[in-house]
Amino acid sequence: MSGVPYTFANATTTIALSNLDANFATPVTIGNTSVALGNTVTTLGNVTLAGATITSAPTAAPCFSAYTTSTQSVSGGTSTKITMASTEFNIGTGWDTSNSWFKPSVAGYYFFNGQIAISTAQNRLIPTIYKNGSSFKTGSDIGAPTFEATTSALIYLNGSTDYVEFYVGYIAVTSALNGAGPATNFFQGFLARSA
Amino acid sequence: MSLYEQILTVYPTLTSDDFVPITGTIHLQNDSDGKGDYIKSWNHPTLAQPTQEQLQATGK
Repeated sequence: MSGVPYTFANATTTIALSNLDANFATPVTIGNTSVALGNTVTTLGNVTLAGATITSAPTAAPCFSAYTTSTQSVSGGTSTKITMASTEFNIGTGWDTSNSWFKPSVAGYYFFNGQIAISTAQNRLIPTIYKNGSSFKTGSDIGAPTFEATTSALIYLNGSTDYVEFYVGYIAVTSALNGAGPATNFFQGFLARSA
Repeated sequence: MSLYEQILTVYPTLTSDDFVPITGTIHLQNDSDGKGDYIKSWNHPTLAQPTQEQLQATGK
């Protein structure tokens, strides 16, 4: 590989990506310091990478899809936590099947989506996402008789103590969840952007 | 009779809006931990939180 290492101080120099190996591990001299960009976290300052493709290891981003495994009674006028003891997938193991909450180890902005299905038609049915034990985002407030409602939200979680849960925030009449399984009552989420 | 129904019996003027999460002033909750329904917060501007005796009397 000709032309490397490059040596430059105050000059602007373009290094063709073809002159670097696949992991940017080719030694480069910047100022008086020789660095390998590869797997080392290096602060360069005022460096512009043109034409580079940045891969953020998407396989490490937490995501889950949890669902109910049995029917569950829900009281009228009451916010009732939905118990979800099974998952279709649980990348990063952020979903706790014992506590039915999502507590990821990666800080960032997470997108959530959930659905509840009730066996008795409701004049009001409000799914709600809780953050750290308190109602945080309410979903669609269905005004007509309905059996199902959904909600979605983008929520920041700090990657250590923050967690979210899924509740039936309000229903008009005491009833029960309609069936169980991943198609009816579920709560899903994924890392949309790291912090 | 659920806690919600007991409260509505004590205070018939309450509506569903009073119990809606975040915007309502009365928040009933059940954490599905076996402890049942409870009053998590009561911030109604004119009606006082009912006593246990008032709630129990609704079932008699």
